[in-house]
Amino acid sequence: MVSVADVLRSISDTRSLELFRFVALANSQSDAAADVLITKIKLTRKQYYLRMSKLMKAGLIKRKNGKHSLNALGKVVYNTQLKIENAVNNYWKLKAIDSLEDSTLSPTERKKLIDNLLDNQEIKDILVSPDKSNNENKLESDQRSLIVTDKVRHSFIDGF
Amino acid sequence: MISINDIQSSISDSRTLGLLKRIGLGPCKSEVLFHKTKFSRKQYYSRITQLTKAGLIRRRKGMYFLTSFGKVVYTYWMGIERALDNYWQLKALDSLETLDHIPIEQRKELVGNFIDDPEVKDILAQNKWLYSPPSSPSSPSPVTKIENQTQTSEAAIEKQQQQKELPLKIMIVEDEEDVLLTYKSFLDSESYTVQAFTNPYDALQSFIEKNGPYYDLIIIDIRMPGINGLQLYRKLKAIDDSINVLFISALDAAEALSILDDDMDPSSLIRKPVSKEDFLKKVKTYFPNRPSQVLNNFGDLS
Repeated sequence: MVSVADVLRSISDTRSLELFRFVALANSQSDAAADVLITKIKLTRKQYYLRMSKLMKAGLIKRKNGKHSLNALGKVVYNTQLKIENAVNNYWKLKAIDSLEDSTLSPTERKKLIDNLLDNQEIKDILVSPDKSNNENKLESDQRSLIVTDKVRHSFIDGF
Repeated sequence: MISINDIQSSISDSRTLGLLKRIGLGPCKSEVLFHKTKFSRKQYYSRITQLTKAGLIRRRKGMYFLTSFGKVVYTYWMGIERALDNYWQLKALDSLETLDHIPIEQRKELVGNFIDDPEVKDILAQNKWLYSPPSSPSSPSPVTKIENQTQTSEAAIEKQQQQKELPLKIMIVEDEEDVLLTYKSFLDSESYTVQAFTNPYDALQSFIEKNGPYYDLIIIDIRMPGINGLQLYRKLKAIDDSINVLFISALDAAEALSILDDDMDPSSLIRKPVSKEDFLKKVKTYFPNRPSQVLNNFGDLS
């Protein structure tokens, strides 16, 4: 049985991730395409087959009739990769949210800030979802709000 | 800037992933976390450092939290874990080789018979992401796409090199419009690219919207309404620790220095009023390896 760590380890180096992406994009990859790919990614044949073998062992890709393609788990992982890439593209904004949270944000203000900064609805939903972590943040935030005057809070959020 | 590989390699061992999961359950005191994970102190801190460097967790008031980025990534990874809970069902689906070649409605029904998790079901039933768009003369082939990806790192280095040759970008924040225009004109005369703000909130928002290191120098007036220059500095610094900041103050020098944080360099302060020469001289100290912007432009012409 494969674990999340196994999956992540199999695609945790740049070249393996590139191979994985290639198989996903091409859907089925023949040995002829492999020759092209080996040249493009600058891998030796041994490195190429080693990485492909790791991806297969992790259950992400399969080989049939000399062609590689994603299997069902690979499709889920690839989809997750795309989402994480999107999160990486928003890294700066997510970091900004954290740094501003350290100031004086109530949950409503935090939600407004997230709405203003981010476009991706899925990421917004994750950040405003009520979980344990959020509840404790809310508690802390509420305590802070008692200390901070309304004037400061309103002037802060007015800026956004 | 963080890369997807940095993140994945940071948690590609099961014990580090376990540590991240523990923090993902809710904020946790460092000592409690240490005892629960049963790591040696060295193992514990090395993993904590890895996760912090990958931007997934942060420490505040002795507690470890997921960062916003960490929360998003963690949620997505948990999606993989849910998929692995359905490992044998996924294997069974793989054995049905027709899955990729049947109409979407039939595929949805088939996937629905095997998988309960709505998200996993959706990914497999939709299958939209799997294929490149219908081939058109303009759409790149997968090989071209990979080629583009492998060239990314080389392009990034080239881009960095080009950026070094681009005009330096300076943000200036000063609430008095006439003073702001004066400073801007000083900087314009040296061909710097200047973005000027009278409102610190607008400056902060612009900084965030750049979505990455953009400004080579930020010049901030200390005394401003709303949030003052030091508060703005702390917010900017929390977002990007590597920023260069120059403060301007009409306060008495000793008074201004006394309100600066310990980690601030007293030489990063300009006392108002300031002459054009002194102002530009101070700005240039931040770019010792760069020729004058004006000279640089002449160089380009030649």
